[in-house]
Amino acid sequence: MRPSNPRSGSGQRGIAVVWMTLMLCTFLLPMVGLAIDLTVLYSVQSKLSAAVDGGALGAGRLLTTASSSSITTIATQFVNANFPTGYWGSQAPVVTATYTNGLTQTVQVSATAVVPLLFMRILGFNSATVGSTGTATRRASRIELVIDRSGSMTGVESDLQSAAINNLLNALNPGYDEVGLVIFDFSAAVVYPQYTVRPYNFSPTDSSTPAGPDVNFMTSNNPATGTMVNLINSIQAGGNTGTAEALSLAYIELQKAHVKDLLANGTDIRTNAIVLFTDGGANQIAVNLNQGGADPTGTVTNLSVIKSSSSCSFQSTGTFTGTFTGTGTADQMRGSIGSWPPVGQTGNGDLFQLASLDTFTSTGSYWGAYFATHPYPNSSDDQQIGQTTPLTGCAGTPTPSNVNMLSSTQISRIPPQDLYGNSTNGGGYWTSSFIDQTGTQQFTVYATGYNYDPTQVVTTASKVPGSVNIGNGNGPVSTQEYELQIAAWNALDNAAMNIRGDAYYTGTYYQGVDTGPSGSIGYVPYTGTALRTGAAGDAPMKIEILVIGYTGNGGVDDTLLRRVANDPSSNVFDTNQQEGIYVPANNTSEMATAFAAVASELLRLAQ
Amino acid sequence: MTRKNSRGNSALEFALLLPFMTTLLLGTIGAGFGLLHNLEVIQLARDTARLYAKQAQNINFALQGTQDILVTLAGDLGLQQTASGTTPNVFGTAGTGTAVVYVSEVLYLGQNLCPNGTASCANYEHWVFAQRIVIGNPSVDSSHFGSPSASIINSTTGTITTANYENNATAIANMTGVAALPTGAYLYVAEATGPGVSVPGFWNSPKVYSYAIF
Amino acid sequence: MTTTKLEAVRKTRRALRAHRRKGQEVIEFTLIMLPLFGITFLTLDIAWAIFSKATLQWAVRDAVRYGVTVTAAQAGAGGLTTAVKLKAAQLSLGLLSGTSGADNTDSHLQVHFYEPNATTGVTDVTADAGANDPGNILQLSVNNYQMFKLLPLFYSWNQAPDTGKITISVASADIIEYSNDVPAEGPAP
Repeated sequence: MRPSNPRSGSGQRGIAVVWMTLMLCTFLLPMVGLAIDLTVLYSVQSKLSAAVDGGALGAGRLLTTASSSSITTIATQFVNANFPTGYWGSQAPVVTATYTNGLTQTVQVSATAVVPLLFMRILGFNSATVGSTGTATRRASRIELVIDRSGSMTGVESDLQSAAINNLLNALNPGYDEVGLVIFDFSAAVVYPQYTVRPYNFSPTDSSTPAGPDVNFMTSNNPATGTMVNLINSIQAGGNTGTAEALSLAYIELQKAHVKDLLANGTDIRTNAIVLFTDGGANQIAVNLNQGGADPTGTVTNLSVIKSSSSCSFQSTGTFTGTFTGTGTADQMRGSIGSWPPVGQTGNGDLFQLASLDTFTSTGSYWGAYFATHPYPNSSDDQQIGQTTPLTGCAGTPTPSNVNMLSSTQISRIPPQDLYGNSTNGGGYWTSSFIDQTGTQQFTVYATGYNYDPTQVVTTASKVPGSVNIGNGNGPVSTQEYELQIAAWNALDNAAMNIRGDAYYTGTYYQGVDTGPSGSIGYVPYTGTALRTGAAGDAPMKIEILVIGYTGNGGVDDTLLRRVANDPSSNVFDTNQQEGIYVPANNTSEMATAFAAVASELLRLAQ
Repeated sequence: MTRKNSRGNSALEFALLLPFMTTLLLGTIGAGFGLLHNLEVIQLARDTARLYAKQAQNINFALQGTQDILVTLAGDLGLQQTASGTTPNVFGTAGTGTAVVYVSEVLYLGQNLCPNGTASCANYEHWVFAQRIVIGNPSVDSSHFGSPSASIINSTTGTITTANYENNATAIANMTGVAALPTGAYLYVAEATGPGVSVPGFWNSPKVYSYAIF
Repeated sequence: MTTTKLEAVRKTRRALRAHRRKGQEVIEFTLIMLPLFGITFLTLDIAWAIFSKATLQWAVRDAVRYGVTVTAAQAGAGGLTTAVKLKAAQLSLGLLSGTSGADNTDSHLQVHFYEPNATTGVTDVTADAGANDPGNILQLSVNNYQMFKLLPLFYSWNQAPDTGKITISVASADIIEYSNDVPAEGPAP
C-alpha cells in the first residue's frame, strides 16, 4: 500500500484555480449574467412595449364599426410589425387585444415573449418571460365643423379641403361620432344635415325635423350632394366674415342632437365641440332689421334699424306700437349688416339684404340664411338655402350681382343684439389686432377716446371726438365702419361666451330665433321655462370651442379668436368656463397639422 | 504514478486561466456595451416614433429645438443636431456625429386614394413616403425602408407632394421586411442607427439599428 | 511497511522541496495576484456598470410612459414631477435613492417640459405655468449618476490611481397625452 502523501495534493494545486472557481460561481457569472442577460431582457421588453403601444394606438386610430375581431387583427399586425420574429432568439410574441365598446372605446393590447438566457442558463435559468400592456381610449364625440369660406380664402380652398378631410374627418368614425357642418361667409348655413324645413328652430321635443349632427356623415344623406367629403370639397370662397351667426347655428345644432340622444337613450355623455376654422376678423352680423319693442334694458323703445325715410317698406314708422304698417310679416326683415369694403380701405359700412320669405312656395318655405351669390354646392340647391329676391323697396344697387345692398345711409342704428341674441356691445372688445404668419402685428383697428354707442350709427360731429385710426396708416376711416366692426367683434365674443355657458339651458339667452311667421316679433328676453329642462335628465352641456386661425392670408385677429376659444392664452381666460384651444396655422401645411391637433384630442394612450 | 513537476504551479494555472478570463472580460465589454447601445437605439427609435406620430402638436423634426431633444435621448450614441436656429434641415449633414435618425410618414395607395388605379397613380398598390426627415449623419446608415430622392422632398418641411408620391418611383417605401400592416391611415416610422462596439475576436457589431412604427 | 533508506531520503527531500515549494508558491501568488484580482474586479466593475446603465435607461423610459398617461387621481398630491420621479426610483431596482416616503427627489433625476412651436422646434417651459399641458413633451433624465468603482485604475506607477466615479446619464421623452384629468405639475423638477 502506498502511503498517502498529505502534501501531494496541495503541492500540485495552485491558488489561481481555487480563486477563479470561487469567484466564478459566486460573483463573476451572476454579475456578467446580470449585465448581459438583463440588458437583453430590457431590450426585448422595450421593443415589446413599443409594439403594444403601437398596437393600441394603431387599432384605436383605425377603429371602424366593424366587428371586434378586426380590431384584434389590426392590433396584432402593429405588434408583429414592431417586433421582428426571433428578436434575440425570442419566440413570437403572444398578443391579446381586448376591445371594449361604448361611448368611450377602449383597446387594450397585451403581449408576452419568452427570451432564452445566455449566461444565466449555467445557473439553471434557461429563459425568462417579458410582457407589456398598452391601452388606448377613444372618446365618442359630437362635432360641429364651422368653416369660413370668406373671400380671403380664395386660392387656398383646396388646401383647406384636404387638411380638413385628411386630418380631421378621417379621424372621426362614421356610425360612432356625430358630425355636422356649417359654412359661412356673409351669413351662415347648416349644410349637413341637409334640411328642407326650418332648420334653425330650437325645438327640443320636435323629433319630426332632422336634429343636428348625426353618425351618417359619410353615407349619402342627399343624393345630389353626397357625403360630408363632397360637401367640404364643394366649398368656394367669397364674401365677408359673419362668424357670430355661424357659431350660433352650430350651438343650436349641437343642442338638437344632444336632446335627441337624451330622449332616445336616457343619457348623453358625448363630448361636444365646435371646430371653427377662420382666417380673418369678423365683420358681419345677422340682424332683424325691423326690431320692435324695448331693448333688454327697457330704455330704448324704438329700435328699428332701418330709417323711416328709407324706401324699404317694412320699416316701422315712429314708435313701434306692435303692428306693422307695411305688407308681409315681421320676420321677413332679416338682414345682415357688415363692413364693406374690408377694413383698411375707405368706405362706409353697408347693409346687405338676406333672403325674403314671401317668394317661397310651400316646398321651400324656410328662412333663408345664405346668399346664393356663391351657389352651394351647386346652383340647383340655392332654393334650399337661400333666395335672392329682395323685399319690395329694399333693393339696392346690386353690387356685386345678386347681392342686394343698401348703403348705410339708410341705417338708423345697430341693434343691441344680433339675430341670435348675442349682444353687440358689452364684450368690451374694441381693438382688433391682426397677427400675420410670423406672429408680427400687422395692423390694428382702434379708436382713441371714442365711446361706442351701439344704438347710434349715424355720426354727427358731436359724437365723434376723434377720428378712427387704423394702425397700418390706411386711416382714418369712417366711424360707421368702426362701429359696425365693433358690433361684429362683440357679437362673436358674446356668442362664444353664451355657448360656453350653455345659455339656452338656463333660458337667459335672448330668444331671437325664428319662431314662425306669426310668432313673436323682435327681441325680448325669454321668460319661459329654460328651454332644455323639458327633457328629463338634461344637464348643462360642456361645449369646447376649438379654433384654427389661418394667418396666411394677411393675418388674423388672434386676440379675439383666443377669447372665442377660451384658450389659456386668452386675455380674458375664464377658468369657470369650458377651456378650448386656439391653434394658429401660418401656412397651408400647418393647416393640416392644426386639424390633426384637434383630431388628436380624441384618441389617446390611456395606460 | 508519475509526479509532475509542480514548480511554478500558480503561474502555470494563471497562464492556463488567462485566456478564459480574458475572453470573459473582453466578451463582457463587447457584448455588454454593444447591448447597451442596442438598448439605447431601441428607445431612441421608439421615443422618436411616438413624438413623430403626435406631430399634430407642432412637432417638427427639421428644427433645431426638436433635434436637441433627440440628441439628449441618444445619449452617448453620438447623434448631433443638424439644423440651427430657425433654419430647418431635413436632409441631415454628412460627417456630423456617429448616429442618424430617419423619420418617415408612409401610406398605402389603395383604391380609396387612387380610384383609377395605375392610370392616375404609377405607384398604385404600393406603400409610399409622404414625408422624410433626416437628423444626424446620413453616411452612418441609409434608411432600411427606402430613400426618396432629394429632389421630391421639400427642403423646409420634408413633405412630398401628392403628385410625387403617387408617381415618382423613388417615393416607394419597401415595407416587405415588416409584417403586414393595416392600410387605412398614415403610419409613422422612426429608425435609429448608432455605432456598435467591436472587440476583435469576441464581439463584432459595427452598427446597431432599430425602428418603431406607430 | 518498512521505509527503505531511499524512501527516507525522498521524504526528507520532499519535505525540503515542499518547504521550498511553499515559499515559491507564495512568491508566485504575489506575482499573479495583481493581474488575477485586476481582471476579476475589472470584469465585475464592467458588468455592474452595464447593469446600472441598462437598468436606469429602462427605468427612465417606463417612468416617462407612466408620466404621460397618469391622471391627477393616480398621481396623488405630489403632482406630476413627484409621481414620475417616484416611479423611476421604484423601477430602478434600488439604484436611485429615496424609493419611498418624502425623500423621492433624488437630485440626479430631472424632469423637463418642452412646448413644441413652429419656429424653433421646442421651447423649454419647465419654469412656466402650463408646463404640464397635454401636448407638451415630458423629458425625464438621470444626470451624472455616480457609480463607485471596485477597482481604481492604475495608469502609471508614479501617478495616483484613478478613484473617480463612473458617471452615467440617460434620458427619455414622450408627449403628454390629452385627458381632462391632467395632474398638477408638482414641485420644481
